[in-house]
Amino acid sequence: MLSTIERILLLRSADIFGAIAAEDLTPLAVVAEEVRFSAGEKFIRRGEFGDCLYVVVNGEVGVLVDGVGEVPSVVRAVCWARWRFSPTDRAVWTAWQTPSCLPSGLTVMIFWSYLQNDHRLLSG
Amino acid sequence: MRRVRSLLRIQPGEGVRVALMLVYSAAAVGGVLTVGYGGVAEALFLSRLPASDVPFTLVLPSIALVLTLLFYNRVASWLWLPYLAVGSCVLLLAVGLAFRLLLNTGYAGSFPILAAIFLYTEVAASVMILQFWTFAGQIFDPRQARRLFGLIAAGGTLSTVLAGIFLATLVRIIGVDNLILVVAASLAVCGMCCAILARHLPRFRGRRTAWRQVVASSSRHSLRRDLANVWRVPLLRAMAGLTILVSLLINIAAYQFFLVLQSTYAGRAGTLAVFLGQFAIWTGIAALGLQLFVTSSVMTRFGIFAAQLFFPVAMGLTGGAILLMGGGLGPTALTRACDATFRRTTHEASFNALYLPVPAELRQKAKALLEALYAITFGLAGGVFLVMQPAAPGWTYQYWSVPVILLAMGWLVLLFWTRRQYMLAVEQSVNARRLDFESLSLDITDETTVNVLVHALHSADERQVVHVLHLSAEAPRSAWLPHVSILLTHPSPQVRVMALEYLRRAEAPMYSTEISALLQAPEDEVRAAAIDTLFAVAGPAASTQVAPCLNVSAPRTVGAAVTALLGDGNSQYAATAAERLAAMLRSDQPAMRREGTRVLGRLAGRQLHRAVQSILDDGEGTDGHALPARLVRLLRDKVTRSTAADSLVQYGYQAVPFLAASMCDSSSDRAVRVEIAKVLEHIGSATAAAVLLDRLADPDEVVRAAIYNALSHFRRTGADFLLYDAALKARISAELTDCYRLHVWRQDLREPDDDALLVDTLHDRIDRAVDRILSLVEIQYPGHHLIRARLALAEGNESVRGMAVELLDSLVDRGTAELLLPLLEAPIERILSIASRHFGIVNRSASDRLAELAQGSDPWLRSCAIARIGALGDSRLMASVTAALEADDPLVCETAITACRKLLDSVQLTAVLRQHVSVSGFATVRRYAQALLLDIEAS
Repeated sequence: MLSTIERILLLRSADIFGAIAAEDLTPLAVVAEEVRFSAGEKFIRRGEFGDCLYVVVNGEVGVLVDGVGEVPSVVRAVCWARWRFSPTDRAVWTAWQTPSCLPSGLTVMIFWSYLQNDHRLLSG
Repeated sequence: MRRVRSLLRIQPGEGVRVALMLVYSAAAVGGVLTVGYGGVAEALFLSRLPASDVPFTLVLPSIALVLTLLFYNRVASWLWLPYLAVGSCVLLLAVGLAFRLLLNTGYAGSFPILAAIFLYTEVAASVMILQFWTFAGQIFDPRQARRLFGLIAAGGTLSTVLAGIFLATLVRIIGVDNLILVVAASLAVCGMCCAILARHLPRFRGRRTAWRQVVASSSRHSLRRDLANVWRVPLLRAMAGLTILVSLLINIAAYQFFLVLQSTYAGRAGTLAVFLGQFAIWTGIAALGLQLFVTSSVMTRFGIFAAQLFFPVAMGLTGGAILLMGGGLGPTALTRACDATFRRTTHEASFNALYLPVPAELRQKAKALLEALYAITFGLAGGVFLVMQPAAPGWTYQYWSVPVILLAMGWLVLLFWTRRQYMLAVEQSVNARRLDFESLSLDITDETTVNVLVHALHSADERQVVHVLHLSAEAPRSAWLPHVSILLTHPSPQVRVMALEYLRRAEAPMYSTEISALLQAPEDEVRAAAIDTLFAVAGPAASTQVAPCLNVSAPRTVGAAVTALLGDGNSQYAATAAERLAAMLRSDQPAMRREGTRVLGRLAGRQLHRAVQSILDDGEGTDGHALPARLVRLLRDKVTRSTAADSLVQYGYQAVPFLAASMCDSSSDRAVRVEIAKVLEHIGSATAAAVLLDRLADPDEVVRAAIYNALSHFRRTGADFLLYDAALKARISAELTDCYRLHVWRQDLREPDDDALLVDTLHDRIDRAVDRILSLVEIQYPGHHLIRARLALAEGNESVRGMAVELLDSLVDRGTAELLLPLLEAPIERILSIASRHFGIVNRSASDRLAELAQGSDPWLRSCAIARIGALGDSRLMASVTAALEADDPLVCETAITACRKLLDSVQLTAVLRQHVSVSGFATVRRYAQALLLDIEAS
């Protein structure tokens, strides 16, 4: 399990949070949940309603984008949003844990509860 | 090299530009002005022509200069500066070589050739110096100008001294005629400097393109329009006044000097030449000393207006000396020496710095026009002397000191006005970088505009329709109602909501049926807007239609229904609505609680039944002020905080006592107190300001920042409050101390690796501390748009940033400026020096500093320090980590456990984790310790 300070260190290395002072990321780090996925497991499916934001901690993610095809695998500290600015928006990609992942599987942090209560953070 | 840079105040990245400008200055002033005008031209003209031709040296140059500068100004309006500069160097070089060839012909002693050479050197020197300062204004910002203008001008002063020393030797070796080749070589050097400096112009490529656009737009510019453009800028008008004064002062002093020389050295040309040589050398040395050691230092420390005082004060004093001593060569030479020593140094450097707030394209034109003005004034004054000499023979040269003194006094008066105009120009320069959309307007009643907008209202593009609805909000409503009512059936919910809001504002009852139909709309926000509009147009008659909406689960709809039904005090549905509102505020659903909070805000100013109030009072007994008190409590819930803040603003002064109580409660959450400061800022009353002033020294820096921002907003909006200057200065001083302390800490803890959480945090804290200081400065100096300067300082644009710092430098008192400005622009070495000298904050070892921060009172800094200790694995600091394990902050405690993973062996760590699993008062710490314990046991 990551401590709060370690989560903050990870969050600040993600582009989406890069402009936010590390101190201000504390509430987000506190409410983040760690979720593990096994190889090949899909965690975002095309057409799902948006309700959360993922930050990849460890492992690789495969992504298939509508009309584009598969994009290169991504590694840690990259955000994958299922949550968008309108609750009616749907995901336009499918993301899954690639087979070449680490033995411990993919770990991601999600923030759905925080986002549900404080949309201003992301709108800012 | 670093020591030289430090001595000359050159900062990293400026070296090449300064070196080029020094060479440029030396070539322009030493080569073209001193050797050309002062050597070739005067020697040839005075030695080969009779004395009767001498008056032409006063009249002809001014005519030639005016014509040349007006022509130059025309060319400058369509040619990019580097092209213009290099082109003029090449042209003048070719003309110089042609004159050298002509001197080998039989016309070498003729008046036309010698007069032409005289004019050529005068024009070449003026154009080179004009271009030199134009370049200087474009490659340095106002802050650099203060530091560097004196230095770069020193190249010219030094070369003048050297030229004075070696001129006689040079003439013996190559002869006077060949000095014109030295002028040509100097022009070549100037051209090369311009070509290289072009690469240092800001946004090299973009500027060239922008210049082409300026050229396209200004190709038809006339002299009259240029003059009008210059006249329109008050700062340039003031500078024109100063230009006239300087021209008159120089001219009168030169005239006095020539008359004294004529009477003292009549018939002794050799002695006169020796005297003039020594005069040039000594004034040159004085000017060089002034340039190197006084100009930059005065401009940096006391500002450009202090530097502007030197020349008129010196002229006034030496003029007084002539009168007191009854004339004589000594005092008259001193007056004349003011030109070389003060005008060419402090005056020229500071006067050219005054141009910097003026837009670049106008600046170039203004320089040329003011040079022409100088020449015209010079020529006219020469004409006056020619007339006065025979007409008033009793008016001897001593009496000319009277107008010198008067002009010097006039200068001082004009300088005050110039300073004011300069500050306004700097403010405008900072503000002009941001578009003021509020000033944009559209005539919505114009028939053509209306036709276009109506057409757009029926567009298939939803964004166009929304935009027109925004615009038409200001229009006379009756004409637009038929067009807007059609939009009630628009497929876009946003358009339908906006149409409903339009009809609500218009109070148009004829559309009640169409509005009622939207109570069944599928979208929550459309139904809510329909309820609002229906009540606005139909009144209580709509209650029956709206009442069923109290039972729906959609937050916006039920919120609108509650607002509508509670608004009517006699409504039979009021009590039910109040019950529903109370339930909304207790709801588990965040959206429902938020909506309930919004409803409380919308009830501000309405008379509610006592029964309804008691339902909403929540048992707190708030003596008839149930709603604002309830809203203050809702600030504690982060779901409802923002909405509660907006709602509290609606209650204005009624909410202030409850906000004050919560603000003063140190157990209140930081976020709550920050929100309260913002609410008080929006309420904007004297009592709200009093609450903020009471917490001006709040120990929490984030809360303090919110309070400062609120008070500076008060000042911006003209709201008055009593804050003693001493109290404000004490706060500024405290914040400055904090800021310097943070700089020292950051320097102590700078890290070479990527793990820079602590250093980044200190960097953020420094930025915030600076912004707090600027907020306080804004409170101290209202009416100067310092909010724009604060925004400019936060941006990356160096030019705008420089202008913002310049504005602060011109505005704040010297004591504050000397401590504030280094924080904005000085290298870290200077900041550390001030921290040590002024505040007694000295550097410590990284280890000592980490230990200090790890035991400090700031939880976040403490956590960062402990994380750093853990990352370093520095067991010498274990005591700090152990102490943090018992901290009363969950983040500090949890971070200490994280650090223990690196610092303790598994047995010790297990013991620590078990202790925290069983006794820690923080759920997050217990959970984290438990997870680590399981990991250890599993491994």
